Amino acid sequence: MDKNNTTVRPGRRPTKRRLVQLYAALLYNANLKGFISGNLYTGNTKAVCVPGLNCYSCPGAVGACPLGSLQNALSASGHRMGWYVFGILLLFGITLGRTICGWLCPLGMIQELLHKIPTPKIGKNKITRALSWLKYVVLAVMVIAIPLYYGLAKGLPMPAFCKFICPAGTSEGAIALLSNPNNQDMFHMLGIVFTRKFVILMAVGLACIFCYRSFCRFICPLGALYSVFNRFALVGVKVDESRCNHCGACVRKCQMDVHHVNDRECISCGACMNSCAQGAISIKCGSVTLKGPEVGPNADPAPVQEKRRRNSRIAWIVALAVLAGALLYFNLPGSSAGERTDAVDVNAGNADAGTAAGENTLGGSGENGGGEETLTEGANGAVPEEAVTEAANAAAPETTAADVPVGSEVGQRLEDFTCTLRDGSTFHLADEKGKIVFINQWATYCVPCVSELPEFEKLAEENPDIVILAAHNPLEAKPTAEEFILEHGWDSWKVKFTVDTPEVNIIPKIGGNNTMPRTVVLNKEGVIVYNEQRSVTYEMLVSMLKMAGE
Amino acid sequence: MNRNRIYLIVTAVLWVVLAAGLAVTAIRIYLAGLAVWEAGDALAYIYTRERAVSALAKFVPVFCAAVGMSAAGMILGIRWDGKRKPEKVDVQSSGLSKSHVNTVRGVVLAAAVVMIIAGIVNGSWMDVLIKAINLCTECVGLG
Repeated sequence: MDKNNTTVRPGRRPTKRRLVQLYAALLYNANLKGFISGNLYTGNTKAVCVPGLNCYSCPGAVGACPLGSLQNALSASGHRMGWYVFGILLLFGITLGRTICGWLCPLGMIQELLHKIPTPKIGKNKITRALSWLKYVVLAVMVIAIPLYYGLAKGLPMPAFCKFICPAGTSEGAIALLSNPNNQDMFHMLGIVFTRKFVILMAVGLACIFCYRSFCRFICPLGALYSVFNRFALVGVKVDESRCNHCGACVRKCQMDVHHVNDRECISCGACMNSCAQGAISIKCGSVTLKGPEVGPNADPAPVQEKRRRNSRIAWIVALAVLAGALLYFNLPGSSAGERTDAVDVNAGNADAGTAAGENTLGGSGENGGGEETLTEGANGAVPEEAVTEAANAAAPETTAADVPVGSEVGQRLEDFTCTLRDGSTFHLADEKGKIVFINQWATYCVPCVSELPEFEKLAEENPDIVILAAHNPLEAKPTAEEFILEHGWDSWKVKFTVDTPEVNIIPKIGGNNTMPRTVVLNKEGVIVYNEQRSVTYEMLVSMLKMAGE
Repeated sequence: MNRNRIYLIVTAVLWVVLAAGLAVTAIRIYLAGLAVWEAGDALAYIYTRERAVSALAKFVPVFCAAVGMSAAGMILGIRWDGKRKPEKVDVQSSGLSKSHVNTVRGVVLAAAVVMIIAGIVNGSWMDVLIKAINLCTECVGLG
């Protein structure tokens, strides 16, 4: 830890860099209404990766995360090369390099704000310099090797960095979603994955308080990737060799682990500019100076500075107009803001829940409402599952199916549908009356979905009298559902596969949305006894089967 | 030991207690849920909103104290200004000529544009979109 020296200094106004960071964070997360509804944005702008680390599962996100997209592209490279993601990353790297880390990364801004908390600090030293190489290991192993291995050798998606480490996913994705009351069902799926990532988030947050940009310096694979391009990037901090006297003040001032200005660790924050007595450092875009020395013997002439300030004001006006336009576009009341109509209706599940809560006039609904209450009570008590089972049993009344209202909640009767299976045959839900039916929502790009499907097959093999329907999301990526099934030898399975379509709408009917996986269990009367978005194990499936049979 | 230093250390301790406490609480909730699972209740919930809220409520005083101390420290301008040891700095240029940099820049830029066009043609942009608009629970740490 640094030698103990404390000072009292007046607070300062936010710098231009801080304002740019805030701007970028707001622009990446312009779908503010997502924070209120708790749903993800599903418009086409999400096909564009943003330059900084910003989780695309954040309810506000209007763009894709470059790291998540890269891992998925590598996982799917056996079927389709992810040229698009590779190209975008190259473009960001060669134009901006690690300037992105310093100016356009929301997580970088959060780390800097955490570091502002007044506590003892750990300065850069030999250990931090050695640790700065760790991010290249994380990049090579978690972002490249593991997703590639799983994709090519096992045919499975595996975004290892997202799953095991990414604090942006935990904070912007998981915690932002969980903190919305509309998503309280999501708590049911939390387990070891969340616990592990939450502990990592706490550790990273704490580290950032004491050590400047700890995550960025030691772990972030996106920074590692951009650092490769840093020396060649169009925009960045440049040194005028003719003015530099090699005093080293710039490197001493820098809080990153740089060896010289604009090396792999330099995030072009510009902190070194003020420390350079020679006025040798400036931020440039090619040969155009964006920010140069303003005081000192080598300061730029006043007319040049004035011209730069005028250009800066114009740039800010344009940028603010873009931001205002984006906020209006994504948040206008009643506007779907370009959201895809062929995606699963993200509001279907919540709308259904709302309807179920409101319609307590019929027996089934009333029991359902009671069941939900019991669930909540169970959650507080020591034996929540008994409450769940009781709720489910109570919701499976000794009435005929005709008495039970149609819906997607436990205790309601699932709306009938007819779909085409992959072998061309037709599946009609009403024809399965008298059998226990499992319906699973899955997708080839959903890790827990493809991991749990073999458990369903095992259950189907051991219980030939049950029906299991696996409905793939209507939107198919590479590999498609059919390619995935053939590749994994699932074509001979007892589990029936279908791809949902906007015409059939199985997923909205079961109360599903764009959160996966989801499992619904119907008893022999066609009444729902279990409906949860949650990964399942074989033991859980057996319990559900027992519940449906009672 | 001066007063400012004590102030900074107390603030640091509060944040450490808060972060460590939250992490330990998460682990304890998980282990308690796991015990119910292992007792044969396969469908038991490990986390619930109520359980999480009641656990978080215990940390509200520590959180308020930590935030209060931090805010006061910022307003008063109390900072830790560690004087760095004068280190030998080897400041040198990247060793790349301007034309070399421009060549690399041009080649990579061209490659990036070609790749993006190839990605639009082969449909890999759609894979990005589909992944981004659907929530894979495990990928964000939900489980």
